[in-house]
Amino acid sequence: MFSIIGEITGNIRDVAVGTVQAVGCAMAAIGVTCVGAKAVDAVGRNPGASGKILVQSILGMALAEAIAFYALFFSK
Amino acid sequence: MAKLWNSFFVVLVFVSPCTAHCSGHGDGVSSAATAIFSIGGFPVTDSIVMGWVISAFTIFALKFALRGGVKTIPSTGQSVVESIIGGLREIMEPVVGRKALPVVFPCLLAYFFFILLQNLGGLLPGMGSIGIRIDGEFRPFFRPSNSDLNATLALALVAFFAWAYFCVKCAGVGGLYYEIFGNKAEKSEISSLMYCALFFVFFAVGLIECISILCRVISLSFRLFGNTFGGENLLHNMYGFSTILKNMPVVNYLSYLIPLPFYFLEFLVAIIQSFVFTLLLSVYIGLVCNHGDHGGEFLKGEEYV
Amino acid sequence: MVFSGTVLFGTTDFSGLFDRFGIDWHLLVVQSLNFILVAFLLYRFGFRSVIKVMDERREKIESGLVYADRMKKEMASFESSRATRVEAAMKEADDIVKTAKTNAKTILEQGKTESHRMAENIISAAEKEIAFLRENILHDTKAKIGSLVVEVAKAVLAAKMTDEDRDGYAAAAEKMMLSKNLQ
Repeated sequence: MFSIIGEITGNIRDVAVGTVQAVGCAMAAIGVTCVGAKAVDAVGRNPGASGKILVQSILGMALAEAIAFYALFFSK
Repeated sequence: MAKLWNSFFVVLVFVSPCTAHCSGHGDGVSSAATAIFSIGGFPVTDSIVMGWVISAFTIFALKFALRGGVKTIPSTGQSVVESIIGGLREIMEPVVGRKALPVVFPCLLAYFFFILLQNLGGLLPGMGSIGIRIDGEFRPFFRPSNSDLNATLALALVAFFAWAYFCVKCAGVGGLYYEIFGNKAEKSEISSLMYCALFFVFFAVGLIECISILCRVISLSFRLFGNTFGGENLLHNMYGFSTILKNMPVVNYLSYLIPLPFYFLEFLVAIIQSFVFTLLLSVYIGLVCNHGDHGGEFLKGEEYV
Repeated sequence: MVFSGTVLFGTTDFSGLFDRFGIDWHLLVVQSLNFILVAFLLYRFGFRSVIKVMDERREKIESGLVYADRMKKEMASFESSRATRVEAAMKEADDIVKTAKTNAKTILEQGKTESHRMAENIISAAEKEIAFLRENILHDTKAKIGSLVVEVAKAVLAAKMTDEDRDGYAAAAEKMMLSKNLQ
């Protein structure tokens, strides 16, 4: 499929880079979503621990988000 | 305080459309900072100028908040600073550990305030729009400091050396070595032959750990850079989008509203990213230094990069 | 991450990446120094004293709480001891009042009897005196009346009587008086 699109656009490398960036960002977004959903879940179960959960979830989101930047910057 | 935030938002609402990342060259913000001039081979870029301005502002803001001296019964400014510091300490204490916190905390605070104000300063009007034209090329004076990879990489490198220093200071060289390469198996639970064999396994794991530690520099710097640079690009593009509307007859006034939601988003990102940088640094320090007391457990068994 | 790290170092051309983002060691040094300077100044001008004051305040509050706790305990113990003491004191006071009342009663009684006795003494003395005086007066009056009678008789007799009569009466009187005295 990539080769077809590559033939259309004329540059298969651009397509590959774009795909990597898109997939990487999408996966990072899914990761962040998972963390956020689970954090909401956890706070709903145990509202008293919201402070600790916030810290943990921000850490998790930051780590998942980093993948998006790897995909964006290291793909070219 | 609420009044202060309100006025800040009002400034954002009315001035933000004028921020105009209309530097003119190419589409989007240039990925590298542009040098305005150079002193003795050291180029002075727009991001460095912004860094200086915000640094001076940070110091004077702190001095201003603490004017009249630091007292046991705090003034308004002092209580604002104290509430931020107290909140951060509450969060950092279980992560870094009670023992290492007094040594590490000023450094973490400096990172938090520095990055926070650099990020917030990056939202001010004038980024990339005020400048001079030299040889037909537009050179802006200001660029959000953290949207230059040099700045964030410098922060991450300093953080790396600070991490090494704090680890050696709080856990000792032996403690640092044990944390990375040491055999963490329980001697009583396994045979001595197995225990000796595990030395090699843990050493190999330590080598991989070293790579992971070096990767932290990259991940820290790129996370901050990516967020700020991405946000800057987002604002720029939204401004570009609003210029399309501006040429239309009826809805042209709406064009000022288009970048606005993204300013709120970037405001949030600015706070969260400064917090994330500080928190990750404290986690890295806590992984090595936080033993003995209770807080150490929740950091274990995860690879933070 | 470790895996991706090795992949990163293996495949990515870092110099190209750094070129694209304008990495320059001059800039790195300048930015690092800038941050270190700012961090030091922030520590020097603000955070050091603020953290110190916060610690001091926390210590003060903690010691204050401990002190308040101790005071509360002391207060409670003092309160209970005070209650017992007050009770004892009340009892003592009651006793004192009781004894005082009885004492007062006896003293009153004593005073009453004493005064009765004294009054009786006075009365008896007075009666004695009165009797004595009456006796005296009676005696005097008797004597006076006697002599008066004699005088009157003398005078009457002197005016109306002859010498013969006088001698006769005198003799008779003498006789009577003698007889009377003899009786």
